[in-house]
Amino acid sequence: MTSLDLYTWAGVAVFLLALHAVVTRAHLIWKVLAINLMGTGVFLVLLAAPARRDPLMADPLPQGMVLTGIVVAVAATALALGMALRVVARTGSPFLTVETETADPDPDAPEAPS
Amino acid sequence: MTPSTSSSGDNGADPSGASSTPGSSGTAATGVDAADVRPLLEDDGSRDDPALLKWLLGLLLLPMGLALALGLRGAADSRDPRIPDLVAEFLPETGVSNPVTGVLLNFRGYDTLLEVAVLVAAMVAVWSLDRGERLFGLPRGRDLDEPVLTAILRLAVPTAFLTAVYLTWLGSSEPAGAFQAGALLAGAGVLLTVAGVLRPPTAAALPVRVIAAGGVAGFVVVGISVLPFTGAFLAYPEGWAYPLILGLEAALAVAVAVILVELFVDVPSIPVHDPALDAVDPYGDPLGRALAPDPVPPEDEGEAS
Repeated sequence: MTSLDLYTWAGVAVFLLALHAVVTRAHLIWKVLAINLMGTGVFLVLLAAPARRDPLMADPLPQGMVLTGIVVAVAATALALGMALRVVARTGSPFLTVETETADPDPDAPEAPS
Repeated sequence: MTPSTSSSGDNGADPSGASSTPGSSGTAATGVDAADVRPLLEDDGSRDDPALLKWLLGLLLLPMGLALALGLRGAADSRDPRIPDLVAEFLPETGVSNPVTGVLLNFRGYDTLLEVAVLVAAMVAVWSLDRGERLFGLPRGRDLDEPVLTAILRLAVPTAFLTAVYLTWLGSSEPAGAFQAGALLAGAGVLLTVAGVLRPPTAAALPVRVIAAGGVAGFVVVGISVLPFTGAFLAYPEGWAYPLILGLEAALAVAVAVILVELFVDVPSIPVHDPALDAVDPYGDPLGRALAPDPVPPEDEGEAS
């Protein structure tokens, strides 16, 4: 096991921890940050995996891909945070609520004349 | 759990207290207190999954992690090893000596073009979320009354600008480039905006649109204009690669900086819940901006089962 293996394992660990948070955390900003962190885990794996063959000569292709990915992740995170704040602005709550009772017919409504 | 301190530290120089008083909706263009917004965003964890489910999911993820790590090991051993050699072999033709820049702006120019397009799309999407007032920035005509902040700005902003220019130029030979420079410039821009020195232009401002689109437009123009010479989109003619890449990097750095600052300052403003305001205008917020009346179910009846 080399130090590059360690990077791969760390990337997988970061990815899975963040996935755990995405599923179990209810707060929207938690979810957005966790998704961002999942991407970071993927970047770590992408950078570490190709370098295992020849640690002295880094592969520029994954590095370019990760650089592109970081920028796109920043933009996506900003958009997601903006949408989360919009949810707060509209509903007053940073949680997504499941509306289950909105379609209930009113039982007290007067019966239609037959 | 109460907010840590009163907000007097932030607003000490603001005797009018215009941030959240109901009567000042006409003048309170910006300056929402962070302390007013914080309760809305508080999280005590009570809506999270129960602990048992969390542990169960954790157990479920363990074998998944094992499989992923072992699988990735195998994938790394079986991948094509020729790519670094190929890049190294053709690097002299890219016009730059940094292989990552060569990949980003020459071999995989399409990727970078679409990446900047994604940035522009994200900016437009954030614009469309909210065209109202901004969370940051001082109202027009108010002076910055923070000696420490002013001194830091005077040091940090020119340094960041100079370093960004250097990084853009350095990208052709060393690990640096347009995106690093753009991020640095954006940092300076965000600093200026939060301090209230730079009043962020509105989304409709023409310069913002032109600069932000300049990265993509520059790419497309360069890509098409080399077509008659090389017969392929974004294939630079011999000898022209270095100046074209440098020009593209400069345009990209400025565009990325403007887009990142816009992404930061264009967050939708959060209305602070204030019963006194509700009495005046149920959909209003302290920024004096009316929200569209969405049908929101009453809070006290939402728990009924």
